[in-house]
Amino acid sequence: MIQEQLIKAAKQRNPKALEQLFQESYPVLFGYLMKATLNEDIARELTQETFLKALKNIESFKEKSKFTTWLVSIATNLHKDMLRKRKHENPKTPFDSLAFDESAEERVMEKDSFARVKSVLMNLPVEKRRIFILKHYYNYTYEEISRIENCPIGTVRSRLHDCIKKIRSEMEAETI
Amino acid sequence: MKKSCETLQETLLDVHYGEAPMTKELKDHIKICRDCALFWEELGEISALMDFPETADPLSPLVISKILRENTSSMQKNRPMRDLVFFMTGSAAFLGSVLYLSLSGHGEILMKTYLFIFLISPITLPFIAKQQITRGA
Repeated sequence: MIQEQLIKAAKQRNPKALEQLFQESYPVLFGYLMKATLNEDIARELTQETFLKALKNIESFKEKSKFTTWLVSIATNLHKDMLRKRKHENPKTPFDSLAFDESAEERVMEKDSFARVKSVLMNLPVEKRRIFILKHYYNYTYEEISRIENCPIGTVRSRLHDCIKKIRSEMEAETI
Repeated sequence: MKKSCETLQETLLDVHYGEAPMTKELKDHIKICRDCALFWEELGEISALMDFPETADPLSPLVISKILRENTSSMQKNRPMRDLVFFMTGSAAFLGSVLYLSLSGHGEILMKTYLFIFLISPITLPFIAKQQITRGA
């Protein structure tokens, strides 16, 4: 079934169409949340919440963007809400360290490249990290990212540039 | 770093991510500027360095059924409220029209209609009962 037909059937609450849509968009959605939160449990929880919210509001999906892009914007809002809620509950916790489950000692101990990537992502401020992930890993356009993040294109561009600067400085620090 | 280099590096970033085309001006600048050449080279290195394996297993059917179930139960939770609103709107419309008719001098017709509605069931009941008895026999 092509995407348009699938969405039409999903809007009529057809379970098979919904399942197929969810299955197709799951790798991108979970991968995005995994990179944004760097915590598998939180990523799984947010993925489920995103699907649930999408299901409740599927009639409002206008089909101007891809279904996955719509899901990613829901996931982004849920992630923002979660961080805001946790910051409110525990204001003393540093904003960026909320999503991580690794101890500093573990981070130092891990030497493989994946751990290094995680560490680089972890050091990016969370709102900039999401923009970097959307551009670098999923190749969304500046315009799409500005709609997902609800911010101007100029902000997207400057935040991405800041991320690259930060990553470059980390690369330089590693080579020294 | 020169101001012009900073602006050009921002454009190089756009080029790297497919948001702008690679112009001759940029190519020429990279050839003569060490900083910008290094920046361009490092952008390629960042792509290789930041490889993040996609580890998602297929979404479990159990999770899907859980999502569908939760959605159904939340819809059912909202239903009594929706029914109440529907009932209240219907009642208000009915009472409003009755009030309007009685105030606009149609009280007599209204009373007759009510009398007819109230009496129709006790009047028809013996006939229905008789019909059922004869059918049973």
